[in-house]
Amino acid sequence: MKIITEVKIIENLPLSQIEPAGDENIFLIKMELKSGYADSKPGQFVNVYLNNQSKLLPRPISIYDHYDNVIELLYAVTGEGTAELSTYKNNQTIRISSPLGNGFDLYSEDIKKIVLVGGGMGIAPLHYLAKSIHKQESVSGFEDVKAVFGFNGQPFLLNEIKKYTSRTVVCSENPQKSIIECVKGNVLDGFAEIELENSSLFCCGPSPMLKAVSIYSQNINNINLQVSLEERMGCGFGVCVGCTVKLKSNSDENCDKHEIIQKKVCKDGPVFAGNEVIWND
Amino acid sequence: MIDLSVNIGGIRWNNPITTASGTFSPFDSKELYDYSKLGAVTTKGVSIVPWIGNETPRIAEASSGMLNAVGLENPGVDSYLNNDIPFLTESLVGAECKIITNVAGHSEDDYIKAVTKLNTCDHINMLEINVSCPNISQGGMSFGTDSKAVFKLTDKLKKETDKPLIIKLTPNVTDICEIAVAAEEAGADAISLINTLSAMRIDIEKAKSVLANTKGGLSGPAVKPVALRMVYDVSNVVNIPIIGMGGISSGNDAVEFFMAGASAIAVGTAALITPDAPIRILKELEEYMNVHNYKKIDDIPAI
Repeated sequence: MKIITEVKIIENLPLSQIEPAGDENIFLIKMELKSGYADSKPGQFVNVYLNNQSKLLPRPISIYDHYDNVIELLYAVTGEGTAELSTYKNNQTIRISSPLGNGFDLYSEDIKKIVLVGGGMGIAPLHYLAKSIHKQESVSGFEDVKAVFGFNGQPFLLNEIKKYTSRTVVCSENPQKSIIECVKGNVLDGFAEIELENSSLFCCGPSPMLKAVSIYSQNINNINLQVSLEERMGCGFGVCVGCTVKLKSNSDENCDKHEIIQKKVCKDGPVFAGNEVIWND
Repeated sequence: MIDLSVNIGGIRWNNPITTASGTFSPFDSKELYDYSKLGAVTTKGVSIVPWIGNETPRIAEASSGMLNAVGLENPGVDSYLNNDIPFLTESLVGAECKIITNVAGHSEDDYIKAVTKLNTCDHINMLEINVSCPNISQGGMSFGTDSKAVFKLTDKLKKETDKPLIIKLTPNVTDICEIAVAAEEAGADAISLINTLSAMRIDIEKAKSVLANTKGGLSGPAVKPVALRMVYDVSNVVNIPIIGMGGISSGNDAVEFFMAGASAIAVGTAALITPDAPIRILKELEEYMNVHNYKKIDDIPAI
């Protein structure tokens, strides 16, 4: 049964206290889980329930890391809920759900060389994915994981991700000499540094970026793409039908007529095949 | 021994708690709690043809509440009868839980066609008519804001089915008692209220409404005082049973609604936030009755 459980906060720090030039509005929270907490897959998220119950809705946040009895979430302070979350102290308790959503699929597709494509906060689930793949080195095709990450502001947590990737191309409007393989522009510019043919792309970030990567990848040979979407959610469990996304039921690119089906980002997703998503303009 | 059973429109419910339409899914809720223990389950509004609902974002937060503009996305009556009902009846084997099908429509004809089809299904115990829908065939005003429209619709639907009819009222009216009386006079077997309050939220950075549909419906604890007042008012003008709902999050909240005149209650938003809310509220209600030595729901005094 999907459950809501109380967890204890071990650490709740802004990046400014974790790494040099770290953003003071992006936080990494580590929480201690009770025994019996469900396993999770990279790409899944948890609902975070705020202690101030007038903030009724849970905040769905991707899992940044999950090991032993610890779960880590990366979040930016963008509204009232995340602002409140950022004030919680060590040893305070908070309620979260068990892991939700489908997660990235590493098995059913014909998984080739892996390229992680992230934009800003989108690197959160990709960190968990990279670490998880790294642990499975013996599985063919998983030895060589590359990443292309774009940032609007200061790049963050690169040292963490680089533990698990063979190359990490960082894209920024203001490239920094101190960062190895930093190119000017966005992730599409970063793709020029990497051979994308015969790759499996795992992508998370702002919608315009996901759309751009999806369109770009359609012109590359033998590539498949999984995108992690986000949408304003109600329950997060698939009951309220608040978070739907429109998909093509027939993802044959040669077919003009697509029947449109709607799926729930919280339960059928948040990960979908990039070529199935009908992108907003 | 406490007897929690109630009789709503001739149908016996084991206990007076049902799910509020739109907050319960036979398939998805099954993983969250054992809904077979409830007096009844009310399913999401179903229409004669599939509705795709509104554009997203469909959800926004309000202080102690939520706004939704889901737009009654549903797979249509045929799919409901072929998929939801078999799954539901399977899930309820051995339980006393009753099935209430909520019906939506954009014209009288829509409702009539839907009710006619649903009438053929023996597993459905009651029908709840959602009159908050805009009457698109008549200019778009919601049925439920016009007592004559509610009377006409109820009267016509009563002729299409022997199943008890619950008319679910919208609170977005000047005088909810007038609407309730019209429903009763037309032959409604019960009344449920309230549906959501018309509301909105604005994103001040983007300078536009948060909901793609601009407006939505407010539900949750924020509406409870309004819902309670409306149940109280309506209970003073009709004799048929009232199913009260609006922000019920605890057994104590439920008791308030019984005291206001409700015969049964529905749990909605609370179940979206804490999935086991309907079951927890049932337990809390039972505890309240124990403590006050009430043996049956009728023992709870109406004010």
